[in-house]
Amino acid sequence: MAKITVNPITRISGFLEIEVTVENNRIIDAKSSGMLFRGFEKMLKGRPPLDAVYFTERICGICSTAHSLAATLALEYALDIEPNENARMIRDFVHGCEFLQNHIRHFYQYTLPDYIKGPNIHPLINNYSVDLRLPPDRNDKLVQHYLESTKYSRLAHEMLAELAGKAPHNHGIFIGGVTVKMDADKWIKVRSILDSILSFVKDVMLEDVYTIARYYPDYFLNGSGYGNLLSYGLYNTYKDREAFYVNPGIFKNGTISSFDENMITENIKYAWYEADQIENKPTDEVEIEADRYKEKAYSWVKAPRYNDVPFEVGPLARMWISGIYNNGISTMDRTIARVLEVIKIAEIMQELLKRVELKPSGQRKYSVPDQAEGKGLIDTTRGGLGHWIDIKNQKINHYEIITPTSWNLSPRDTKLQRGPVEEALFCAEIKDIENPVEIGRIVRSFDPCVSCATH
Amino acid sequence: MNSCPIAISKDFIAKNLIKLSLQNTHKINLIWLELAGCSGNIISLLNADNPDINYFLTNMISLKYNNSLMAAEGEKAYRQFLETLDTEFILVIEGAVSTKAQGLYDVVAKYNGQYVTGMEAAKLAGERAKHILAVGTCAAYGGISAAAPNPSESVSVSAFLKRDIINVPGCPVHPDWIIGTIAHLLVFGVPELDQKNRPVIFYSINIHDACPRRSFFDQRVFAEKLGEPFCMFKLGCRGPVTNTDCPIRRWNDTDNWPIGDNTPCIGCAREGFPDLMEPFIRY
Amino acid sequence: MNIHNNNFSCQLSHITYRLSYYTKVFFSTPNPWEKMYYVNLISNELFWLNSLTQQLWEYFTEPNNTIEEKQFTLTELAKYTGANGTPAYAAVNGIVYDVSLEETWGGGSHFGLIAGKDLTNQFKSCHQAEAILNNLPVVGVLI
Repeated sequence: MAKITVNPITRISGFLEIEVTVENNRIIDAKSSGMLFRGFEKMLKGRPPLDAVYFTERICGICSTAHSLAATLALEYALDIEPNENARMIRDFVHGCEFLQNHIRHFYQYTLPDYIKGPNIHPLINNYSVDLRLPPDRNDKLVQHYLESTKYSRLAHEMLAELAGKAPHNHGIFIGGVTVKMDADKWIKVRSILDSILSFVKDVMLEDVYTIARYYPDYFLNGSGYGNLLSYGLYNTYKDREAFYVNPGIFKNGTISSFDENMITENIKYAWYEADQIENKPTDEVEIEADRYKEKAYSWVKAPRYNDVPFEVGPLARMWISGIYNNGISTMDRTIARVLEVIKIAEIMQELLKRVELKPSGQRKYSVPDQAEGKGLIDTTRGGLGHWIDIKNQKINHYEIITPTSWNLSPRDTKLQRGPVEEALFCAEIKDIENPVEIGRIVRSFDPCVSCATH
Repeated sequence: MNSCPIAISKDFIAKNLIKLSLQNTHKINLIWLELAGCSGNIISLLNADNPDINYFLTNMISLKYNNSLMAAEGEKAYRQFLETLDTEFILVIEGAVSTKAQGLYDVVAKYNGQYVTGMEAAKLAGERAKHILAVGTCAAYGGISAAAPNPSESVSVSAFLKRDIINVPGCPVHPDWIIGTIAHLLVFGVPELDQKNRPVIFYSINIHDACPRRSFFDQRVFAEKLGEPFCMFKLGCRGPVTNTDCPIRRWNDTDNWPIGDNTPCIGCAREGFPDLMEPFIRY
Repeated sequence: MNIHNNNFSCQLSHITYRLSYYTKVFFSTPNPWEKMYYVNLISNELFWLNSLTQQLWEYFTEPNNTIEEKQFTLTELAKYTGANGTPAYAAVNGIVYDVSLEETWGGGSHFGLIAGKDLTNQFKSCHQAEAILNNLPVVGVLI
C-alpha cells in the first residue's frame, strides 16, 4: 500500500491537491483538496447589489464571464427585469465566446501535455512523463497545433472584448442584457472571427482529439465515476432547434429526469468551515466561518449534493442530457465531449448572430428594492453555476455561490459519499507508482477550476 | 538572406525590433508565481499578440515555473521552482499574499510531505530574484483578494516582501503592460517608475484626461444609464482617479474597452480597488 | 443667470484664452488675409465679452439679488446624494459644497464616501490642506 500525493496539479486554474492510496496498482482511496480560499461570500455582504456583476466575475480569471452572467441573472430575478430578446441573444453570444476560449485552452494547453511530448519550449515540454504513445510524426503535428491554437483562443477573447469591453473580466454583460450597441462593423468582425475558429476546431481540433483517443483507448475504461450527470440548462430560451442546446435535467441510473433546484444542498462536514448546520440550502442564511484547523476536514471546497447524491457537471453532462453524445462516461469521453461541444456552441453562436438586429442595448435605469431575493442558475463552461442573492436595505444581505467545480471536486459528505472526481479516481489502475500519470489525466478531464470552487 | 525590416509586414516590425535587440542577450529565467487570486493575469498574458505567448516563451525569457502552463506536476514541478532559485531570474507574482493561518489559505505545493504556502514561496523566491514584478491589482495593492473584511488577510507583494518591486496593476493586467515591462527590463534595464513603482510608460496617463468622451464631460453631457454614448461620470466613472493608458491602448486587440462599451471605468488598476472604487454603478 | 455657477467664470476664462491666442497669431503672420480673418475672430470674442458684462451688470442692478447663503439641515442635505439626477452636496466645517462636477466624485461617490452628508471628519483624516476646498462651489451652510 502506498500513498501518492500530487500537489500542485498543474495545468488547471487554481491550486489542487490529489492524494490517493494505491494497493496492487489500484487506487483504493482518493481525496481531492482545494487549496486556496479568499471568502467572496463574506466580502459581498453589505455591498451595493448592482456591484455583484463586476465583483463576482473576479472569482475566476478563466471563466469570469460565467460569473458575470450568473450574477446578472440573479439580480434580474430579484429586480424583476426581463431583458429584450436582442440583448439576450448578444449576451448569450458573449457567453459563447468564453466557452470557445476555455475549451480550446483547456484541450491544447492543459490536457494535451498529458498525452504528448509538448513543444520544445521550457516548461511546456514534458521531460518526465512516461506512457507517451504517439509516434514522433503525429506528436510533432499535435505540437504544431498546440502552438497554433494560442491564436484561436486569443481570438475568442477578442470577440468577447469586441462586444463586452475587455476580457477577462468583461463590462458588457449587465442586468437588462448588454451595454453594447451592435453595429455592422462589430457584427462582421465577430462573424469572421467565429468562422475562423469554427473551421480550426472542425479541421484540426476534432482530428486531434480522435488521434489521442485512438492511441489511448484504455482511457475510455477509467475515470467513469458515479455516472450521475446534472445540467442547469444552456441556450434553452430559444424555441428553434438550431439555436437550442440543452434543458435543465439530471441523469441518474440510466434515466433522464427533470431538475428541481430546491434539491440542492451544500455539506461542510469535511470542508474547512464551521457553521450551526452541516448541511445548508443555498438560500439559508447561515453564518459559515472558515476554520483551517478543523479536524478531519481536508478541502476548501464544500460538497454540493442534489437530493443527497453527488453529481458530475460539465460538457459531457450537457452533451449527454441533450442526447447529442452517448458513447460513454469516462476520462476520454469527457475530453471528446468537450471538443464536440465547441462545435455545437460555435454553431449556435452563428445562429444567434443571424438573428441579432442592429439596435441600441435597451438599458434602463434600475432601482434596487429594499428587500428582494434572486437566483441565477445557468450552465457555463465547466458545468452548472448558481448564484443566490438576498437583498435587505438595498444592500447585499446574503450571497451564495455554487460553482461547477464545487460539484466535481467536492469532498466527502456526512454520508461519506466521495465527490465525483474522487469517485472517478477510485479503482483506477496506476501502472507505475513512481510516475502516476493516470491521476492527472483523470482529474484534468473534469477541467477543474479551484479558484471558482473555493472562491 | 535579405531581411529589410520595412519589407516585412507592419505587424512584425515590433517583433523584429525586439528580436534585433534581444539576439545577443542571454535568455533570463523567469518564475511566474500564482498566489491568492483568480489566475486572470496569466490568461491575459495568453491573450497577448505581437509578441504572442509563443514568441514570449521562445525568444524573450525562459519560463521555469508556472502552474497553469507547465507540463510537470506535483513535486517534479515544484523542484523546477527550487532549482531556478540558484540562478539569475525575474520573479513575476500574480495574486495577493494571504497570511491568515500561517499562509495555509493558499497552498501552492507539497514538497517532502510538507505544505509550501504562498507566503513561503513568495519569500523564498522574493529574496533571491533579480527583479520582482507584482502583476495585477491583487499583487500590486491587495485588490479583490484583500477586499473587506479581507477573510484571508491578504496583503500586497510589496507590503509582504519589503523590497524594490515593480508594480504592474490592472484587473487583469493588460498583456502589453506586462510584456512591455519585461522587454524594458531585458533590453533597457529597469523602466522609469512613478511614486507607486509603476512603469511611467503605461501608467502616466489619467483615463479621464485621455478619454475620447472627455468633450462630453466638458460640455456637461452625461449618460443617465449604461449603454449611452456620453460621459459616464454621473454613473460613477472612476476614470478621473485612475491612471492607465486604456483610453489609447484599448483591449484584446480591438478598439473596445470598458468605456467604449458604454460602461463606466471601475478603477480596477487603482490602489484601493474594489473597496474605495465602489459603488461601481450608481444611477 | 446665476453667478455662483462655474459656467460664468469658465466662459470668461475661455474668452480671455482665445483672445490672447488670436492676438498672438495676428502679430505673427505676415499674410494680410489671415490677419483679416483673425481680426474678425477677435471682434467676435469682444462681442461675447460685452454680452457677458451686460449680464453681470443686470444681475447686480436687480434690487433683490444679494448673495444669500442657503441653509441646510442634515436631513435636507441628505437629499443631495447625486443619485437619480440630484446634485451631489457635501458639508465640511459647516459649509456645504457642490461636488456634482468634481472629478474625484464620480456618481456622487468619492473613495467609498457618498454625497449628502457632513464629511468633516473624513475630510480631515485624508486631506491635510484645506486649500482644495476653495476650488469647490459653495452652495450654503449647514445648521
